[in-house]
Amino acid sequence: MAQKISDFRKLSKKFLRNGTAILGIALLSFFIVIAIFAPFIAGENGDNPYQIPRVSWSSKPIAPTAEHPFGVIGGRDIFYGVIWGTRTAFQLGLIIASCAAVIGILIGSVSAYFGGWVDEVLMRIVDIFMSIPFLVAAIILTTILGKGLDKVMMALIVFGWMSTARLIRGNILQAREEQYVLAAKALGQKNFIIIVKHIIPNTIFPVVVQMSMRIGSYVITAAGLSFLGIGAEPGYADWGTILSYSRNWMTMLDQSWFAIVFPGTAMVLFVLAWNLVGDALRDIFDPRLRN
Amino acid sequence: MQNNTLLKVNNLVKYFPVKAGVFRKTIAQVKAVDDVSFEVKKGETVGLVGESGCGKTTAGMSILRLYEPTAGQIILDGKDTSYYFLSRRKAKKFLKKQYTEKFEKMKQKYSSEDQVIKNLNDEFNKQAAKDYFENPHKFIEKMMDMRIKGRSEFRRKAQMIFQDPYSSLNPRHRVKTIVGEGAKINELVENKDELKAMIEDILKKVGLSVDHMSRFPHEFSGGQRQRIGIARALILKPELIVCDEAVSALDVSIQAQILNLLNSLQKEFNLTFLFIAHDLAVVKHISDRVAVMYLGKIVEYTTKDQLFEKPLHPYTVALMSAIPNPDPENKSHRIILEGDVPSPINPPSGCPFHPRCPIAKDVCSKEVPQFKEIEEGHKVACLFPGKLKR
Ligand SMILES: Nc1ncnc2c1ncn2[C@@H]1O[C@H](COP(=O)(O)OP(=O)(O)OP(=O)(O)O)[C@@H](O)[C@H]1O
Ligand code: SF4
Ligand SMILES: [Mg+2]
Repeated sequence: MAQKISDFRKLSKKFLRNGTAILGIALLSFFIVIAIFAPFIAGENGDNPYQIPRVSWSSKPIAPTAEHPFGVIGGRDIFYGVIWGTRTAFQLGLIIASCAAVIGILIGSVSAYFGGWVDEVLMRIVDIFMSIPFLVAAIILTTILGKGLDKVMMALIVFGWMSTARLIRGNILQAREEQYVLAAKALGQKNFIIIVKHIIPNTIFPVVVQMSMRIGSYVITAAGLSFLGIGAEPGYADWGTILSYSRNWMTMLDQSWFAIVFPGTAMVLFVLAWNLVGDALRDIFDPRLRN
Repeated sequence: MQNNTLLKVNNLVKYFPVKAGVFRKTIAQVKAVDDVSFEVKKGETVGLVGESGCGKTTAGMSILRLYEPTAGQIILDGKDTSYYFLSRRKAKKFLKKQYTEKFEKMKQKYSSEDQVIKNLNDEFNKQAAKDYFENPHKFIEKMMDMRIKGRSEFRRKAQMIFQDPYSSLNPRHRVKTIVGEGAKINELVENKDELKAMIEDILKKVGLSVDHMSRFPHEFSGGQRQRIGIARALILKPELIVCDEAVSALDVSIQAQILNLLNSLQKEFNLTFLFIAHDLAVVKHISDRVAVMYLGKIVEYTTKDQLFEKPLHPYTVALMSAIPNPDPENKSHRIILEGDVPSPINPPSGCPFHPRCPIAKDVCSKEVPQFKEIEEGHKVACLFPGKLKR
């Protein structure tokens, strides 16, 4: 125990000396604070807070004012959308990434554990899913399922688990051949303990790192779908939805820049935060990189 | 069985199935180890040499049951351990085939129990037959009872040191976890303090220091990692250690250090080594006896002195000519073997060495040479032993 505590102290010290890791944590904390305090920062819209309040009936963009600090587009308050959109981004990223990871881990480990024809069949399914161009599949799926953020999430989960499955399968197959696994067997260790103590720790962490890196990219993809008009319902507090309003004003950026810059900046910083955190996690999980 | 025999391997076979197609049908077998028999005496070092891919690692791993052997008998310290790691059903089947059916068939052939015992060729099986005929049912039952207990006993007695100092240590575990694992599993200690003391003691014995306990493997050099691997095996106070090319991944100067360490540990703990190596040079320094392997079979087995003095198998002669000779006066010409090692999926007919043997005759591709004792303590599998001169 004492070892663990001193370890933790050493790690956190190292972590804090690492500039990019601090930046990542700071950014992520910033977003978390915004998500938690959204009602206090931007107010709450009646019975459906995830609907951006309509402040104007004209579709013309209104430049930032004191009342609407990020401006207005499509009659919607961008500030409200960006702030509440933080919650949406967390929901999207975390739910998609964790569901895709769970499915991927399950399929990958079943594939590796049973081997033989089970492995063969599952890996062919992975191949098929991977061969379908993602955007086309997502468009078709959302057309079938209908509009809405939940449908977008579903599409992203259905087409998002394959690389995790491959990663975990490869890792398990590799770990199983490692001589330290054979050594544990030679010492008389039980199979179950070998899996828990030797194989899982050496296979699961890369997946966690991958997951954190992908949370950001899922948010971008969801925004892309919203921008194409096959994502969230109009008026939903989502960064992609705000961007989609600017579609009609693309040629008049001088009048609509704020509809791109504010949600766009939020998105870029969100992706950056998760990537930096992913990097930091990798350093933490791998004792070889702790020097 | 002679009391001083620690390990006896009878007709060990290990095939790896080659599978293909959606239904994973077995289309061929890699005959990695094909009918290997030898014995190792207590306290000696037996070198197992042969080119890459001839099945040395597979033999070592099968003996330790890190691979499940396809067939064969592995006797450790006077006990048949072959069925220990099989499932109950498979173990029963093994015992039935190895003892019940074999002895009953022989009894019919020789018509008396005494004759059966007389006609068995090794001491272990003679004794087994004696016990079997006394009470067949009890004999099998007693062996089945020993199965589970036998497993941990076997694990304690037989350990392995691996080839790759990098892959053989879990990168996420500290030295003390790695070294202590065996002691914990086999309940050699009562509490944490005892465990710590034991780990410290063993680390010192392999030339590491107590400060190394809490470090991770990546903080060590190859030689030090190999010492950690030795400590991990040694903590169980094993009798037999299979060293699979334990030094071949290390620098030459470090190799000597590790070999010296193994040597002194052998004396201190009365260890028995099965030392796997791919060239005769390493084996020359440490072995008492040497087994030369080619394509899944042992082709020559004798004492080191006899082997180096008078190699009988052409393959051994060729391997020997590859050792650099420091004495310029005594220059023997190097015998270059033509071609590659054939595939163990489809070994050549007759003598498996015939496509590369410099003195092969027609008969060599037809007749399988028996592995037999040609002179006292010198076994060879060749139709023309000793004909190829250095
Ligand atoms: N798990 C496996 N599955 C299928 N074939 C295998 C497996 N392990 C080994 N083989 C094959 O069995 C043969 C013997 O391999 P083995 O590793 O025992 O050789 P080796 O003598 O130890 O060689 P090296 O000097 O390269 O370590 C080789 O042809 C190898 O390809
Ligand atoms: S049996 Fe024939 S081919 Fe085989 S080693 Fe002897 S001489 Fe060579
Ligand atoms: Mg090998």
